[in-house]
Amino acid sequence: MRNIVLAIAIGLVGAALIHIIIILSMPKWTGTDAWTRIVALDDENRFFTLANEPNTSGLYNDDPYIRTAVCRFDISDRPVRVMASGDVPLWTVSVYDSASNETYSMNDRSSIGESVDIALVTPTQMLQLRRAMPRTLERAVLVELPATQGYVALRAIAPAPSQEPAARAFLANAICSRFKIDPA
Amino acid sequence: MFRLPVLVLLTLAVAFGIGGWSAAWTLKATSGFGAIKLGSWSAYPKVQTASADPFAKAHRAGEGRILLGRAEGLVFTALTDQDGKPLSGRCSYTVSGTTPPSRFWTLRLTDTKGAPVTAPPQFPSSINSWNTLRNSDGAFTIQVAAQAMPGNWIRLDHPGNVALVLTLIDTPTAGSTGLVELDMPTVSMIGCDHA
Repeated sequence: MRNIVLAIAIGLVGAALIHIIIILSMPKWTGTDAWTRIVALDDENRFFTLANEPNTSGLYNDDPYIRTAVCRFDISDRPVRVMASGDVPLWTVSVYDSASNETYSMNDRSSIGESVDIALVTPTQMLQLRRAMPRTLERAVLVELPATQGYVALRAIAPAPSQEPAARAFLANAICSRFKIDPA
Repeated sequence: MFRLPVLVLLTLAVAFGIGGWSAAWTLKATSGFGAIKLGSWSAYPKVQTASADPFAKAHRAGEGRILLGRAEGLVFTALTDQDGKPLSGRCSYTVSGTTPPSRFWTLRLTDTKGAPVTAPPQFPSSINSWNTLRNSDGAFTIQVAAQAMPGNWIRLDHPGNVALVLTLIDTPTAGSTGLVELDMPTVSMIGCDHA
């Protein structure tokens, strides 16, 4: 009898350990996390506009008035520039690392001008840029990222059906491409 | 003779059984700590950040959504009405009052797992701050019911329980310190038609 109680007690301690292990390791092996789904969607450096209905990719616009496009990037070789412009009432953008932690976010009120213009750079590239800032980047928001891989989520709102085409065009014309830092 | 192996098996069964079940249960039951609770509404302003707790990280990895960043907005979810009763898809409710300051908001319905509850295309299943009719003081009343109603109306006719999701876009709510003073709309039950 005492042995059974002891076995259950040890089992409970083990259960606590397994609980903690499962919770901590969960983000790495669910296979349904946002990063895995985005990797399955499309190549790097291209905005992919999400569908409005639930689908096999697992990613869709769950809010009927907010349209989302995602772009996966890797800035280890070259920095990436995100640009978009168009006639939308409001846009927001977020940058996530591959563990889906938010590393940067902004909206149209905090941008210079009306359009999205963000350069994602590593700390080394930032130093290069500081030394000689290219003309073309003068109005861009420079974002130094601690991780080299990640994804950008760009959203535009369409409060009325008539604004739907504008939001779709805004996301479809968004650019998320690598650029070269000219050695000065 | 077989006592020791049986005891070892019992230990392992308890460890894996209870450990696995409790982990699965916690992930289903909660989205983590750090919620802002305002009446029946709750929001997790830090769930998308690196400082989210392990439960929140595990939960968001399982859900796999592209969450709103801090400068983008904040999502409030109500699973109950103001009396604490679960929102039923067969009842009618009013959502009235004002929202915290934001540039744009949307109100929609989901099931308790977070999947959208949609109405046939001829009926409205969501509403936003642009198409909501308001009183002269800026407050609004939105009817959530199976029958069409005058004024603001969202159709709700769903088997099982539902959740109301209020998304605030570009809101200072997440960073605000005086959270208790924020006004959230109240969710009150009108009645249940075909209970």
